[in-house]
Amino acid sequence: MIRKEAIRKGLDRRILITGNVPRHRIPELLSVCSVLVAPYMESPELHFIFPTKVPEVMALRKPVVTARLYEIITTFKINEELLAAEYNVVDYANKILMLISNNSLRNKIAENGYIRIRRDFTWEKLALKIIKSV
Amino acid sequence: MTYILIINDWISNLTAGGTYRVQGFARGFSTLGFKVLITTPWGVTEYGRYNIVDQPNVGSPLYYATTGLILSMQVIRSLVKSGLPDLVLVQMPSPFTKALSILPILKLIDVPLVLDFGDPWWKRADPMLYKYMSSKLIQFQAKESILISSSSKLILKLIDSRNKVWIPNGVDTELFGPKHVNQCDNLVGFLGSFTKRNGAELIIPILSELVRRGIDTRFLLVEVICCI
Repeated sequence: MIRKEAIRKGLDRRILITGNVPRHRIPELLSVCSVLVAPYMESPELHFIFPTKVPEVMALRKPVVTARLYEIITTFKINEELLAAEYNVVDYANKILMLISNNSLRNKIAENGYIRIRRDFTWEKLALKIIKSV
Repeated sequence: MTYILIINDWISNLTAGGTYRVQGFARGFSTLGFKVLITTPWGVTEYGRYNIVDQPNVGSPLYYATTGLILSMQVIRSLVKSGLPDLVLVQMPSPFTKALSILPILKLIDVPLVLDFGDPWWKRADPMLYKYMSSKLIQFQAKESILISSSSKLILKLIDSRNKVWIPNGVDTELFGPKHVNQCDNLVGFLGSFTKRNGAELIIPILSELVRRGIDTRFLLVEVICCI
């Protein structure tokens, strides 16, 4: 469907679709990119879910533009650790453009996000948090 | 503490623990020096060892028909195999299986119980009666637990418990870390299945908008079968 839409709009040479890839190949593939995007729908039920992909791609030291879901905006520092966009084409395009055109901002977001994940999101630290809370 | 028992309803046939969060906790506890057993209705496995377990799909008629009874027996089997754990962590949110069926056993042996919620226990399409009953059951189970953990701060707000902790989904930092590869300028990456929920409908329109603004960009779409 995505490819058909791209062909219809004359953009098929601008998209590369990998097909299903094994999990261990994901980091290397995404590391080729300069910006990552995770445009979740802002549906009511998604506000109750913490999206795993966001911290995973931040751990690659890549800047990410993602949705304004409750768990995202209450967990990460917006405009410092990641960029959050409204669920519309123009806002996502604006945020991606900000990162593409500004090396300093791109590096800052990537670095801050990476540091945050290494500090707070390892399973060892989270398991320890459980132990300490019991 | 030396031994932690994690209860889930499914395990991978290659490594112990099926869901992302169960795998993560098992890894975390294991790194801290604990032995971790993962018990499901269909087998008891030790994290970090090669395990093969035959099991029905979660949600299949066989799964619902047997989970409550068999899980209790598997928990007893775990206890016989490894003695009393220092902590039992049940991967929720199912209100009618898992924690509910093993509560009598845990009460009997007086082991601390942690209920961990990854997702909401209701779905938008669920009937009101189901939502009401499941909510009551969750509150009951929460009262019998020493700790409620969840990746969702909103879910924690809905559960009445004195001891609650927010635990986000962690990251496998051995796999997800910076890679030394050549970066392509203006290449935008998308990871996930092409579903409405993942915002797939926006991908081509965003690309189109960037091109319209004169940005020479391309999108790399890395497709994986996963929920979020």
